[in-house]
Amino acid sequence: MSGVLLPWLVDGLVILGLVVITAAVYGLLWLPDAYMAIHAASKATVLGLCPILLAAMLAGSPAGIPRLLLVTALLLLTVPITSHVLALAAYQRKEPMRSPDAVDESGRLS
Amino acid sequence: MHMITFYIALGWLGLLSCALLFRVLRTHSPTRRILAIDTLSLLLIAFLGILATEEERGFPLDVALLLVLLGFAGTLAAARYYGEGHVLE
Repeated sequence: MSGVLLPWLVDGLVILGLVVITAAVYGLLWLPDAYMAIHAASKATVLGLCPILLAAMLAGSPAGIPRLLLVTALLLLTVPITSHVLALAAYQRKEPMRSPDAVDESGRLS
Repeated sequence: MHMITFYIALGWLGLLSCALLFRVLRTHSPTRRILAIDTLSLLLIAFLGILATEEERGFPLDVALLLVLLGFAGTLAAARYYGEGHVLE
């Protein structure tokens, strides 16, 4: 039973991950300013990677499971730090907000 | 995992990587450039994860583990250098 269903489950998880990653790349390519691109890319890429790594856990060898858990934990730990430092750098260099209804409450960017 | 899904997924990830690579070359904002390079390394991790579903020994995962840490350090250094002008005090 599970031997029949497992390839379809792995297929579904990989396709789900690819759809979310595609949304992230679309946002990174077309959103108008850097802050919105950071918002799209940092959240959606990790959320898309998690189903793919889960599929690798289900279909790959059991020896890879600790490494996959380590990769997932490191991703969940490091990507928020990276996006925060990137947004801070964009703010320090005064990159403008380009979306039509953006509000800069600090008044430092404009 | 069925082989047709395997190859279609790898090809789709390659197309997304090409689109991101053109974005890296064409953009005017350094923040967006650093972010696109970081996302490229994450796409490479997804590529290695899909490879690991068909691989018995699991060696793509060693590469993925290294790539997470190297991508983190590299993006952090680039972002701090862009924002503050130096990496460490």
